[in-house]
Amino acid sequence: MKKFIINIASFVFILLVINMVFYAITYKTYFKDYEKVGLTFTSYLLADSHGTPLNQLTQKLGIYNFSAASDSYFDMLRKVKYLVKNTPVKQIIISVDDHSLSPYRENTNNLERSAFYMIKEDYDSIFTGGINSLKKYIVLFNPSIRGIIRSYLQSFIIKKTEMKQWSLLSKKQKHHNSKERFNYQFDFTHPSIALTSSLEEIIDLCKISNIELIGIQFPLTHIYYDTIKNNSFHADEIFRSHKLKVYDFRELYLNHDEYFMNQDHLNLNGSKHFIDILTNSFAHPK
Amino acid sequence: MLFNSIDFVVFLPIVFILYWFVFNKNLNVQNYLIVVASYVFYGWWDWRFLALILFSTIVDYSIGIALSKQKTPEKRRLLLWVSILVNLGFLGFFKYFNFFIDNFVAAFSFMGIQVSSSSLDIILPVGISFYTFQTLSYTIDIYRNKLEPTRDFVSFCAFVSFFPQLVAGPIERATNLLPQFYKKRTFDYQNAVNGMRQILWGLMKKILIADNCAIYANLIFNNSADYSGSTLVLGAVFFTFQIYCDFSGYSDIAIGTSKLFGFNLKRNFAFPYFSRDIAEFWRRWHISLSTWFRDYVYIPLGGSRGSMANKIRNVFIIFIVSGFWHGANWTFMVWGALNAFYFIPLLLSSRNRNHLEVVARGRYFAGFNNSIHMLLTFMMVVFAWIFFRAENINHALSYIFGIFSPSLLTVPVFAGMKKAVLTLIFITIFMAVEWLGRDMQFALADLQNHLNKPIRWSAYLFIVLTIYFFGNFSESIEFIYFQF
Repeated sequence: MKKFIINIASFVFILLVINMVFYAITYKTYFKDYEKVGLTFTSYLLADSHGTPLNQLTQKLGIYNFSAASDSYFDMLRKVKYLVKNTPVKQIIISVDDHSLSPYRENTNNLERSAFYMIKEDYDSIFTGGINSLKKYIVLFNPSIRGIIRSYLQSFIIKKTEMKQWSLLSKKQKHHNSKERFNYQFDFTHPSIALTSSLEEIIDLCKISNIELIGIQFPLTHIYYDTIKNNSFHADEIFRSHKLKVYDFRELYLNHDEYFMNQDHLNLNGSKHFIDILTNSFAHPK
Repeated sequence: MLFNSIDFVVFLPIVFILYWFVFNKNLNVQNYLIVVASYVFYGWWDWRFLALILFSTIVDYSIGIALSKQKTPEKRRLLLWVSILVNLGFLGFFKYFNFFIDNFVAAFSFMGIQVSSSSLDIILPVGISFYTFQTLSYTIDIYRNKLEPTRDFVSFCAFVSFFPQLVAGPIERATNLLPQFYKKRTFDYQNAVNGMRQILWGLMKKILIADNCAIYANLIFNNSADYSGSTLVLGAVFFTFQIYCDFSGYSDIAIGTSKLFGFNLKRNFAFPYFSRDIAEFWRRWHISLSTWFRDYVYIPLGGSRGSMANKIRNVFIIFIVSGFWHGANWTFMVWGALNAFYFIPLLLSSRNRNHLEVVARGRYFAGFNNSIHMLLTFMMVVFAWIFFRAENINHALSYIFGIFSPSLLTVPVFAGMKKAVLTLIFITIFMAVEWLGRDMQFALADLQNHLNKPIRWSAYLFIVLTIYFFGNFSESIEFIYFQF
């Protein structure tokens, strides 16, 4: 028995060492930036990858950009609760894009990372809370983030090719990319019930906490705007039904392909221009 | 509780430590622990199922004792029938009630008589087909005077509910497993190491091969009308490996886990896809069920004795019943009947016991003749699995017609084809390892005699990391045989 236990313990030790290496990789490339937050602001921007190109240029307007690629309303709800508890937040600007309530976001989100912002009341029990926290550290028990490690290891073998800016693509390629994106996000007939419920919870929480909640729809390229047509899961309508303000910037740069890195994401240049536009709507002294 | 879940990773070491370090002094307490652990394991799905298994245990325990006291054949037969009716009654209700109602209604409607249907919303208790057969064999063996009834209720509870094999077998006989609960278990290092290795191999089969194959098999079977003949063939091949690795993977984990506690379970699979004819396949596939049907259905019916008509009838009965055991759907019965059609020519020409030995023992290559026989047998098995996997008979037939179309000779195309190639590479490597270990209990059983420790451990790590990086961890994928 002693030999068996020693062997098992040794094997587990080797796995723990591998786990530590994997954890270091995931922390560095995946968790670290997500867990950064400015706690002294009164205004926050919450969005998915549509908000990330703005970086912290928003701080010029006194707004902390708390966006992250793939953030869903599940993640945003956790963040809002966290902000209410830990900051003097008075205003939250949140994306209400056409795809925001798409059911694909139920699977493509940041639940692993936004667990960092969960408060005690968010957990069903101490047990689930413990398991959630453990999963971050015991990477080998958390296959959902193995893609991060795989990409990291692959980056040593395959050099990443620079993505071509939107304005440099052929018209055919632009149509193709737009169609592909559209199929990915809009291949559903109804909005997600779970995401809608999270959005409603965000609205209620802001109401109770006296926080001004504003919706924002980010600029789109002409081709993608035409591809979407009237398809939308209508997160903006929910805002309007609660008499909340919605800023619709979808048509703002329809004739400015040079402001985009792809069909629905601004590039740095576009972001700089967009910040100037936002100044008129949201300027807040820090 | 699923073997491939974090819950089980926590559960197993706790039970192991309690078993060997806390309760190791007293056999009875160890058996109590097994019962409690097994009920926790089973109740993890739905605690209401526990009442059913407990009732089944009490019934067969009591009937076993009553049978030993009863000397009159009529009363003994009556007791046996009570056990059969109770056990099969439960099984029939939970598994087949809606099937019979629906077919009854359909038959009347076919004759122009409208009968109102009243199907019930019945949840099938996990593993009911397995433990029902296990308890039935206990009573039948006592009735046949092959076994003394136990008076140790805790051991009997442990025998019926033993958690490693409770939900998907191997279906144990009381003659093999029950006596192991009476004897003091001693920890055997080699056996435990072998058990761990078998668990790892089983997890690899399930998570890396079966669950990845499931993605493509499901995609192709669920949209079969949209695919070319060649893609449909590929879909059937994916399902062929899915079901093998899913079920034999479960058996490996069950047998490996039992070894950790000092128990030896029956072998359930013996490299069936290397069989040279269908008779050999059935000696190597789901062995515990095949032998159960052989001993309790086929032989009592007369087996391969008697007239040719009797032989054919018995073969059909056993295969169709075996098909029906898998589920309440005509597809399973057609699958069984198809296997009977495969088997009968071998039986009638007395070639059904031609291949009792491991193929090409001691050689790396099978040789031309063996290879052709293995390939043909494999193709027949793949064909039969189409019925097993299809939603209904129409689906199976349209799938088969889809295969035999001009598009059979085109290159298979479906979404995710590139990733599927990776799965095919894993299948190839897996089958190569199985081939090398085909005269062992499982492919890695003899690893310590071929590889030194650093290389062996590197191999284990490689398997763990391959599972981690390439396995399919979708929560919804349970073991296929849980539904049976």
